[in-house]
Amino acid sequence: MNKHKITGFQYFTVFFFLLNSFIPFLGFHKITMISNQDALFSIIIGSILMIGFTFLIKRLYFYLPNKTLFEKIKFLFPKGFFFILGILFLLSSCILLFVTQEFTSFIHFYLLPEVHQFLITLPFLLLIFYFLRKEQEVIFRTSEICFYFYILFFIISMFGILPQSNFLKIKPLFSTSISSILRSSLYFFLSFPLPLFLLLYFPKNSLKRKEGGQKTWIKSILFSGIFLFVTLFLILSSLGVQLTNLYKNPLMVTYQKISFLNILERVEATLSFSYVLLYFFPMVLLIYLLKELILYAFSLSPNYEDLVLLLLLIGNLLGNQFFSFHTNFYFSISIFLAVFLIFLSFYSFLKKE
Amino acid sequence: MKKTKLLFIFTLLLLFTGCSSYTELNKLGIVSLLGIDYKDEEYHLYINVVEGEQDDGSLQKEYITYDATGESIDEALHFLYLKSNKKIYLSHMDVLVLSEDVINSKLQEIINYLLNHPEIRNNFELVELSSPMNILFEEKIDSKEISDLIQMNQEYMGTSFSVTFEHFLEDILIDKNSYLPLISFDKNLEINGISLLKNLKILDTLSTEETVLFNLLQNNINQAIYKNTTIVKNETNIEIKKNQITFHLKTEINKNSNKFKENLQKDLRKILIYYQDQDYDLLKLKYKMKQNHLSSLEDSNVLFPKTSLKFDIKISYTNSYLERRISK
Repeated sequence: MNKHKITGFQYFTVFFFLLNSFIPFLGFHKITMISNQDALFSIIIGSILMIGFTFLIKRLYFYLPNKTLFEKIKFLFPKGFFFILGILFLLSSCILLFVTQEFTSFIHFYLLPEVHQFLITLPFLLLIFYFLRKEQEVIFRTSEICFYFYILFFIISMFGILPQSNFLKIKPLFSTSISSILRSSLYFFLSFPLPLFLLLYFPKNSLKRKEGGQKTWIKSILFSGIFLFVTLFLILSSLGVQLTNLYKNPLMVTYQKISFLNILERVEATLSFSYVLLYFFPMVLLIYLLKELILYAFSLSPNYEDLVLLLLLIGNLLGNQFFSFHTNFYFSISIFLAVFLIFLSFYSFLKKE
Repeated sequence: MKKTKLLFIFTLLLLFTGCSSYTELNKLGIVSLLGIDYKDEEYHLYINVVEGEQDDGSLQKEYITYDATGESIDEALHFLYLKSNKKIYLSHMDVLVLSEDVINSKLQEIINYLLNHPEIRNNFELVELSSPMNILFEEKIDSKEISDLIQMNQEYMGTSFSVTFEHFLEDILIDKNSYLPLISFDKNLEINGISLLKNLKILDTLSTEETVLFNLLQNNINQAIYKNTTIVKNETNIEIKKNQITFHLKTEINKNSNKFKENLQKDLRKILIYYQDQDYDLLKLKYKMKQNHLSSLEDSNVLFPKTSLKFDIKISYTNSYLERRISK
């Protein structure tokens, strides 16, 4: 393993992408359906909950700083580790299938309605295959480059949406009950355990000295929170709460409305590049995690990496044909992961390094 | 070996891209105007397809009309395909024309169909046609003609109002009430005012004169002619209090008329009271009450019929150039 290669900023960008994958996986409509315009406050409260959660998990991150999450689990539970890895494998595979399905149906519905879903997934998975054959630092470096593109696309789309915004549509604020706001905040918070779980796999010492860690987590949460707040604000002011609740991807619908000086229109296909990135990084990290899990659980040599990757990709392609998962399933797994990470963190207090 | 693997992967990437189902532009039947009617328990679909290429290969914009019937919209579209030698492409549809029958019986199904169709974008305009649909399409009317007619009347006469599908959908989602511009076709296209919808069915029609009042209240007017007086400018603000709604109008007219203010106030009150008595929220005032935290939407259903309506109209008079010269 390459040590001291990942910078704090790269780590931040990956976390940012993972947190922003809330947009495609759960979607703004999930929280606006509960608390209407007050969903804006849910993002603030949800972000605070996320920051609070990092304090609970902090110990697990600093525990055995040279070891990956699987090695930590083996150290903590030498007898039951195979069983735990089995459960994690099952859950991660199901999430991967869910993410792949969401990605495929998104591209199929908005961009390539006539292309068979299999043909949409295949090139994307082949790209991931090529990507994962490189070292882990490549994931982080690519994320850094993509981050600048993502911000650029966001600024462009913001200038496109602003002329159509009617800020009166944000009214009425504080029209729903506190319990509704808290419920939607919890929904928003549930987009957090998976990104954290994926990043906790990487040992603390794989990052450059004194970089990364809880401060980077908090920075990512705050930046992503601001980002999602502005995005939801623009969506609500452009579509209104009724239409936001109606569409599964309200952001794509606002992209469809963008017109620059009545000359540049139909830019949604270009802008959806940033949307694709929100699927890409969770998929890459999930497949990476599954590959490492298999190699570690069965003590396979790195020579089997390609074979394992290929099997995972084929499994994902085939699994997509037979299984389908609902968003509620994602919620259930998020709750499980949140409890699991807290449990691991507390247990690590009991067992000294 | 490594290079061969990479080459293999990139070849696959090129093979499996979206190019597999591309359609040449001249094989696309781009629909600009779509008409839907419902008679004898069957959908009647009419489309105007933009035809660019002539037989001699030159390019000239003209329209070909197709029509088909079916028990569902999908079935009717299927029969349209049988008549067209091009792929029917709905992404560039500008105007959707609906008949009174289809609005009253199948509006919900049409909304669902339009929302679930991946090609259709939500920025097209909706229009109700009061005359037979086939006559309009036989004349190969351009969607732009309909769209411009509504826009011009909205801008300079105040006798119509352009409604996009998204606007319509938002209204429907608020309280199931909305409105559509009403047109007819008899040798020429003609504006007939606005059609009011309640619970996804046509409730009533506003005449062109009533539409001017409606547009005045909605603050939609740039210019209009009302009872022989030209309204040069208007600004309307609605002030909402718990038991009272006040309409503040600042209207500029071109003719010094003492009775104009009196008549305008009387007519505005008449139209508002009439629909308030019918429990039809013409201006979405209940939702505005909710937006101002005065009541929930449910409470406003009780409050709205009891709410008093007040008018504060300030009329100013614009002298013509000639009059100004004479007075000097």
